[in-house]
Amino acid sequence: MRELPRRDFLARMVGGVAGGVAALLGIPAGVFVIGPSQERRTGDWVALGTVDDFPLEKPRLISATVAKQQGWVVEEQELSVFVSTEDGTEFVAMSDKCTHLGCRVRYVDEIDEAAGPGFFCPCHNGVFDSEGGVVAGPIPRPLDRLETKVEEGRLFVREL
Amino acid sequence: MGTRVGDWIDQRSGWRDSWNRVFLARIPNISWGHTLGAATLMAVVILLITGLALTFYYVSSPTDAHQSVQYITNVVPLGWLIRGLHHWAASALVVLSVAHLIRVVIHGAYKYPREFTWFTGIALLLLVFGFGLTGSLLPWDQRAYWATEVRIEVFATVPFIGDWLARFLQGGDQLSSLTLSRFYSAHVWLFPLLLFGLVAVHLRLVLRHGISARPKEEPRRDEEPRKREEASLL
Ligand code: HEM
Ligand code: FES
Repeated sequence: MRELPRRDFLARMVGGVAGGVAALLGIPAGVFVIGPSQERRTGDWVALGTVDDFPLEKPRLISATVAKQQGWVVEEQELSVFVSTEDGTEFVAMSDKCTHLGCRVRYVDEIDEAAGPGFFCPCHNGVFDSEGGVVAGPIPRPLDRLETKVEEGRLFVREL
Repeated sequence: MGTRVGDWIDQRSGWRDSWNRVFLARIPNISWGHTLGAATLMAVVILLITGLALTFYYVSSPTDAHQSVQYITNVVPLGWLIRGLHHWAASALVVLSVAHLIRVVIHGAYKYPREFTWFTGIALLLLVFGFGLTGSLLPWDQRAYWATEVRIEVFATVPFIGDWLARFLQGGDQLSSLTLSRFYSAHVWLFPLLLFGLVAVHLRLVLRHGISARPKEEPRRDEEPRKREEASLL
């Protein structure tokens, strides 16, 4: 091995220690700043109404206020979902948030002759069918669904 | 830095010159006491980094301040560490800057031509106390509140302007959310800006004058001849 002059050895030591201190400080600071931002939480069950509040013919847009713990604050937020049912016992709940860039979609009885009824997003002309599936436009995936359950004749949904 | 990248940047910025002027400067025979200024600077760096991180969560409103601090300590990953580092580095900064001042006094390093370095140092020390005053209110708990109350009472005893000063600090006739708000602003905006400006001037002056030689430590040039003279007298 080549001989390392004392001066260079010391310079490397100082550099190494400085790098170590920077990492010791920088990594925890990075972890702290990222914080709980990446945690995924399922929501609480939210009651939307009794089962016969929802018509069989077409999806109904319904809003509920949900209390969400955000950091140290409990925030009231509005949750709006399309609920559709074929028989009044099985329910599908879909978020009204477009999966492209998050505009709110609306239900349209007839988007065009070919497509029939579905959801339309006005922002970039995204079209979903009445099950929330992708039909046209820049939308990447079907409308997000919420978990549903019926208890004592009441419909509950929960964000996944 | 890897020599090739280093050279490339150096040709376009001349960074090696500045680097060498700082890190390869000729210095007199120095002591451990001479490291206190750098140690103080290190505390400042730790405070800057941890302080910036804390502002990601801290909220300076009376309804949120205390809870946001609890959230930092108990929920945010490594929050206890970041807050703890900020807390202890703040104490260390006071101790270190006073120790640094004492070293400067002992070595007489405040004398010509370094008086202005000393003045900027005094301003820095006052700022350090300012950080302590404003920072200790921010957790907004009983201790923070009552300790600040007492400190403001101390300012109120200043002759003639005491009352005006206490009101100015409080932002009104009592310690309130207005106090919290202005202390926060001073702690994270005004004081850091002043601190970095002053540290820059302070360090520029240290580089300009070089580190002062230790009194009596350098061999006296006239010593040898005199000894010879004494010897010849015998
Ligand atoms: C935030 C606070 C301060 C920082 C970061 C700081 C930093 C430094 C550094 C890195 C040096 C280089 C030499 C050494 O470390 O001894 C220095 C020198 C000096 N400091 Fe400070 N300092 C601070 C506060 C003070 C205070 C409170 C005083 C005194 C009132 C002071 C007066 C001086 C003087 C006179 C020198 C020149 C010493 C010499 O040339 O031997 N500084 N300072
Ligand atoms: S946001 Fe809905 S289509 Fe672009």
